[in-house]
Amino acid sequence: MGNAKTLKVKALLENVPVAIDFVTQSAKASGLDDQSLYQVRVAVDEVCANIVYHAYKGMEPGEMEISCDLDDQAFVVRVRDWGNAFDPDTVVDPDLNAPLEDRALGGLGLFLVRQFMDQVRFTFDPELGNELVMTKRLQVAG
Amino acid sequence: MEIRAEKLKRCEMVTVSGRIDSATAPELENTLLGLIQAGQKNIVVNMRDTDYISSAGLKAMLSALMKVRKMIPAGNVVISEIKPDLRENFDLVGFDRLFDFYDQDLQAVGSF
Repeated sequence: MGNAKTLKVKALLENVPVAIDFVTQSAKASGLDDQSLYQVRVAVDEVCANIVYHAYKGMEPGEMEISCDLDDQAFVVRVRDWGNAFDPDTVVDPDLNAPLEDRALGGLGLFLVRQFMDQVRFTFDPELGNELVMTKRLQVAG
Repeated sequence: MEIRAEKLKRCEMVTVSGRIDSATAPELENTLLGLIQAGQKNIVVNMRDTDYISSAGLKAMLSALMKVRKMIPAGNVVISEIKPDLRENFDLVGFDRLFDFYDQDLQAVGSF
């Protein structure tokens, strides 16, 4: 699949900016426009932060692997971890209309990922762990 | 990320530069909650030089807003000079209904 670049780091909060910077470089080289680049950076932040906080709960902190590629006019980011199985359907969307006192603080991250990225796909394999694949279409120059 | 807090006559001006991501958002939250605990419940957060904000940053802002709004009399956390991309984050999660946004510091400070 083209020139996939991969970064593997320990799933620690201090490595989230490292992952963001890695994807940013790759996204810029792919020709992603500024607004899409911003959205991809937020999405990567959200996904990696979720892994840091949840994937290895109850066990030794493991690793997360991020790879980027260009695939048929779309920028593709794959994020993998080897922690607890993650079921995105268990995350409730935030209630956007709730008044201040009723607003829950959770669910925002995954919601933003789905809003910002064109496609988001989660899979879990007992051997290969959790894999998230998200894509952002390159804007055609007008 | 760098945070600068300046006490003005009617409010605190908090200027955030750099990015508010999952790693730096805790510091923003601590700063805001620290100010509130010290008695400052009217806060302007200037985001002119904020490059980006993720959900962790949004949560930090919301957490501060919830705290001051519960006080009697209620305070407020308002935002000034936010870039369009960051504003979109707030809009998408419905926070545009909760926060007041201003194009200039003068207007933001004047709201208090």
